[in-house]
Amino acid sequence: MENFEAPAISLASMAMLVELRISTWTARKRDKETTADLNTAKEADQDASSVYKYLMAGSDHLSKIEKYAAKCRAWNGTQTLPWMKGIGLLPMDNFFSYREQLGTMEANFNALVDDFILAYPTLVSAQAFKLGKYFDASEFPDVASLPRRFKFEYNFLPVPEKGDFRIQCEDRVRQDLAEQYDKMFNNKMNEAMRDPWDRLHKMLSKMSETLTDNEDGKRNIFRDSLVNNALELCGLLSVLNVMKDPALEEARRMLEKAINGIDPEDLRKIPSARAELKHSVDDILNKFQW
Amino acid sequence: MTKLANIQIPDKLILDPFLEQLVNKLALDNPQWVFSWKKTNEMSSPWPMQSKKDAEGNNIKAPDGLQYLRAVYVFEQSERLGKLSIGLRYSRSGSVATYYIESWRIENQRGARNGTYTEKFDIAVRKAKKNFVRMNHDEVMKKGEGYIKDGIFSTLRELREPIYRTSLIKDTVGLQKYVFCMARGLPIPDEIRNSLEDVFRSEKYELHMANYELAIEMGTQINSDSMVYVINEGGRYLCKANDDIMYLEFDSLPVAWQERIAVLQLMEDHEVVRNVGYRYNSTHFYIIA
Repeated sequence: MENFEAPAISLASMAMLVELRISTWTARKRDKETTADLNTAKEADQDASSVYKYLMAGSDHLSKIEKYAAKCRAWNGTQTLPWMKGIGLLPMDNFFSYREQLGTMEANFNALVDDFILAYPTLVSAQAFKLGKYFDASEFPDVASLPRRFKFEYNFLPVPEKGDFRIQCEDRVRQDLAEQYDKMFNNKMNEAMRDPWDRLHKMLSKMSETLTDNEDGKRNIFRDSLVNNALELCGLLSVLNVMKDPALEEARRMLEKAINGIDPEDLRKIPSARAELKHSVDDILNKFQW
Repeated sequence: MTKLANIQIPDKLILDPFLEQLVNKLALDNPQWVFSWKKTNEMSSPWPMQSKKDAEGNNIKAPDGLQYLRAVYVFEQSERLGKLSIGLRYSRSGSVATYYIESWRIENQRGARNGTYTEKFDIAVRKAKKNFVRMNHDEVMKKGEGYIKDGIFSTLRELREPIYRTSLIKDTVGLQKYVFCMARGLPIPDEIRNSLEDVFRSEKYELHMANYELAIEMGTQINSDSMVYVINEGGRYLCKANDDIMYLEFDSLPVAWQERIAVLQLMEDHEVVRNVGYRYNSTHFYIIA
């Protein structure tokens, strides 16, 4: 895919930036004593290895929160386009649905944290048995300090289109900074616009590969997600196409048409259905320059 | 008990502990799903499905004023994906609590037509995730097409009915005499002429005849496959013409279609407009291509 030439619509009006920050208490502590013992036993330098203990071993309260946080971050990645580290570009078409789900996720994250905090005093007592000789009550934070160890924050920001440098310096320096910003902005925009193409290409390549029967005539094993994920991507691409790239929309429509009404069970049973879908997918792969 | 934002049940109800673990897992994994139940007196009990005893040996009961809920509906953006409930399976060795996952996607030849039972948590999660999937365009169209077809056939029947049944002309013998005399050039008796011509000249008859003509005309259009099914889905238009399904913005539709949809948007439900199409409701239309 060549660099996408932006049509005459402003990115700032079509998208916004979103910064999602989720942090959790790790409950991990370096065990200096065991580290020293281990390194000595191995006749190694003291910085050769480190032993970390997990204070919440054997309890799933905290791991539930960690897993949920990871899930929220991954979801955020699918719903936005990459912009800067920790900041995604959110197309306005996707804003309301994104905002609603993010709100649910935030409330659920807080509910899990509240549960954990409520159970924390009991959990700490139980850890004495689970951690054995590793247990040291002083290493467990005070329950009052726990809430600030968990954070679910997000900010919506406008997309700054021109470098607005209000600093006291020579015009030449200011112009340099503005040019540098514009260059960065264009690079970021091209990267962001490439991302939907990459997602589509990855999906199509995977489908084409999976739908190719082996040399002995047997089909590859695949789940219903082969079709469901493609359908989901079609829905997502319609909102992630921030700059309304007509080629991307055409590719999306071709995929949507190819998989509409396809039953994964039929694909498993009928070789000609697999061949037909593969043909349609390959057509899309061949039509565009990736 | 974890209070998740996408589990919305009445204040007097709490999820049965057996159902709660399944609902919580699915609610966390799928924030876009909403689990709800509105009826307070159905599918609930003060006793949990799996009886448990407290330290004193008494059966555990729901806290005062609360009941354990044993079923929830699952929605995504107001589309009902299915239902989760719990029950007991009886066997010689005793009774076992089971999950019941209900969805139109599950089609069994025997037993529960649109549902599946399992005792295992992991299997229940997997089955719910597999079957609780929003309808794709093809499925939305298939369902909508059915509604539109039923709607237009019944509307056309209603339009044709008064003329078909000669409901305004009570004296059918008189009508036959009238036509007989006309065909043979005989004088029509005044009594018959006056009573029939009064009916024929009435506004009501004119309207019925116009409706009849409209129904016949529309029926011909339908039979000639020159119609397009249109469903407004979340602001975009799902159209089916000649077995091709398209999902487009209003601006991307052919101008003629845009105009016809715009006209039908101003009409009442179940209204047929000559050379335009039929409106089933505010989101489902059947237009002339």
